[in-house]
Amino acid sequence: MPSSTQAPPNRVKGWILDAYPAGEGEIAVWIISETGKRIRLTDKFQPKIYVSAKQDEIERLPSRLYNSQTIASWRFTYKYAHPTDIAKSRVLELTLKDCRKIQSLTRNILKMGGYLRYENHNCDLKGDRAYFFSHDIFPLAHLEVKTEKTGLFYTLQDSVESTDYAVPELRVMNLRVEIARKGKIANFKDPIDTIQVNQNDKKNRIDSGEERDKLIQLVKAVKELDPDFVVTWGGDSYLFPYFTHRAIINNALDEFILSRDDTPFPLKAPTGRTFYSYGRSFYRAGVIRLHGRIHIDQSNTFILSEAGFDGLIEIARTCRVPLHTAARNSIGSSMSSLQFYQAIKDDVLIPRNKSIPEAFKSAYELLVGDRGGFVFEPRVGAHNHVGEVDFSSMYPVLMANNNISAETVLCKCCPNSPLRIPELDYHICTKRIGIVPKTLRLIVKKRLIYKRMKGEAENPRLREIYDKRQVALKWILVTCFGYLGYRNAKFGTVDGHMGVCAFGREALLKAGRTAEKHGFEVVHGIVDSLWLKKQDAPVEEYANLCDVIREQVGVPITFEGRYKWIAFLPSKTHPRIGVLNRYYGVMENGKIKVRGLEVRRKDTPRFVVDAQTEMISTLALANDTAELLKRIPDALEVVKEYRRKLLDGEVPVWDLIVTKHLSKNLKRYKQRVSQVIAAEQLMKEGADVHAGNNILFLFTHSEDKRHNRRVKAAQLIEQGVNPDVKKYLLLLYSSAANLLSFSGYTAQSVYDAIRGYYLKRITDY
Amino acid sequence: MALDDEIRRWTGFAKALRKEDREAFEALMDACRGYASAGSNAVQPILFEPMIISMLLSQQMRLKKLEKKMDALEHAGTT
Repeated sequence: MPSSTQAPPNRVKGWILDAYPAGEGEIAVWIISETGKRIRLTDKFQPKIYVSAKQDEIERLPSRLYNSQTIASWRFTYKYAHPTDIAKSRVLELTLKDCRKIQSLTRNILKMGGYLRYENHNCDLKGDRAYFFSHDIFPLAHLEVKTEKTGLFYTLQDSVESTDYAVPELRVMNLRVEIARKGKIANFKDPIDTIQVNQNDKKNRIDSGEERDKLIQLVKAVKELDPDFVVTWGGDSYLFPYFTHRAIINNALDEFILSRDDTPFPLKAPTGRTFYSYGRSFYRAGVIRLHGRIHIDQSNTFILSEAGFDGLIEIARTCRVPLHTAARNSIGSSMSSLQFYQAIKDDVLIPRNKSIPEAFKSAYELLVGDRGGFVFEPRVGAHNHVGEVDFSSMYPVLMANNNISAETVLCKCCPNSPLRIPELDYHICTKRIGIVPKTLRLIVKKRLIYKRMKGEAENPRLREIYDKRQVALKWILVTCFGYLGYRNAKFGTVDGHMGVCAFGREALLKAGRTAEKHGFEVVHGIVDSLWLKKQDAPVEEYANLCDVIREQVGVPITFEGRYKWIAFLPSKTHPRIGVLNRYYGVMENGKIKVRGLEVRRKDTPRFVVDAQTEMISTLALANDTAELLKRIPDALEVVKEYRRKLLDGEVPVWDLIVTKHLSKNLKRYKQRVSQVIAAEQLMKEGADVHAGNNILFLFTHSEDKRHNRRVKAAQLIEQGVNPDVKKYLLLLYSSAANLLSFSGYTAQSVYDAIRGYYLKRITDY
Repeated sequence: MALDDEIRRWTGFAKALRKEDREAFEALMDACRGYASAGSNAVQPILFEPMIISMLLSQQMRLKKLEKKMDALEHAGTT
């Protein structure tokens, strides 16, 4: 039975699992004690928000709020009202009776000021997070809690900086349901068929009795197993709304309790939202949370899929985000949380809306500033004696080193600062360290420690934990630069964003110069990687060079390794010109590195991927470029064999399926491209097709005048459908030509070479 | 991208050329493409300027190569 029924002890040591608003001005806190008990405690909590305005305006505000039922108390205090402020100013601090009233009070105050006079601050923090911040605690922090009449007192025995923290034994339950569906797609009207509940090696299958019994059995199973995490697939968007609906129909909603305390599910599921990012539409369902347990929807989590539970816990701890929020948040939002905490610590108020404008720029300044990373164009062809050096976490380190943050770039306090952004010549504050760099330093430091610990750990499980944790932190570093330029990032700065690029370009150029001074030739360079060539340079020489560059640029740079050979491939349209990031090669340790080729693309049919992979493996046996050239006939043999297989009908249709993304709705396509034709076929059969879907299809008669005959949607393939052999041969030849293009091959010459004569045109096949 | 647009502006010119002239023209345009990132780093509002420098540079590089070759040949001839 859950331990919530027992009277809580007045002193307990353990880990904090969950916190949420319980009654008015109250927060329920769940602790996993060191002895393994799950204990519910309640604490009083009244959050604070701040209002800034002109002094006479703000003076009048308390009297206008006199009647407000939501405010417990108010006072004037001194804070940095805006991140860019040099001095603190007098602001109004409002203490609310209940943390669920923040939104409505904020709206009221904005309305009172005509949406102009009053600025609200710190009003975006949800109750649980504000509670964590105010007590300086974080999810799964190890601590001692003392219960007193006035509330809970925490003694933290842990730190977010800690890298060898202990995590309590967590119980994870997997919950799945099968629906007795009548149509092709299940809906809320269909009853429950079976419910599957798995926790460790305990497997519970609930499939007997009436539907109501099944629901009650599930409640019992959850109570008995008492999991800390309930993991579902589609719990937010489908599973729990479905369960709730079925519970209502069976008149069992009051008994259908999966939370640790006795909170039933809300009648109406929270609404989700659709958003648009990097040219793609996404939908995120509203969060369905359990109380005292953490519900994780595997279809609605990024961090869990990237870094597992270890990574999720690392993010929740480091960014001080409640576990169920951390699981659903984008990395950017988690990172913002860390920045908010830092801001509160530094007495800086968090604006409701981002209010730091971009500096005015002339067209010329935009031309100078609005550029990305630098590249050294590749020297097309196959090379011997090439080594690769990479800057690690270049942008985050540059941001941390150069103190780039919204309040430091073009600060008001040091216009003559010696620290300046190259090219743009913007000054950067030297008097204080920005919020963004402060938070980044923590992440960079922790990640380095985890990487070291991973290397030193002998226990494979420990190695995995450290790896997952560093991967989770890596994602913060990956996103931090993009987030700097994001319009809703509260401590973001477009000028800083441009500045980081400028620092990055400078770093790569300097590194290239230094390499040349040491006798290396720069054969290729992209943003934070360089490929350097020097006859018979030993590994130590590369390592030395890295030391010199690190010293000079201030960004850690590592030697990735030497290549036995590497081929940089030319552009298809301009054979003399190299293409960025299209190369393949074999490193001395035998690792094959391939970028930008068909094998790396998601839309390439299996058949072509297999052929190209086999060709690469054949070529990879070469130890230098001379051997590489000698191996080309062997690679062409592979093409010949695949050609034979295709002609003899040995290639299954499934290996020929092409995947294409539908980037807009069908009607908006002007050209009837293959994926549109296939999508139309699907629509005709009654399937739902939207922009954003991937369409799978087979080429059948790609040249046919009647569009509909050109392709066949994968779902509609029946026996007797024949692939367009000629089209697939073309794909095969051009993928082979792409691979061999460093020595001048084209699709035509590949064809000629395998046929052994030069008479026929490839299009005649 | 911008470079492609600028090159496209000269399509009419290229069209009017004879075959070998057109090939040479393409080689010049490739010279611009080959120095594209340097051109972008020059930050010139008028794109044609970095293009001209790129073409000159590629000519200079070819001269250098030819000189080297000639030197080697002469050297071989005298010994």
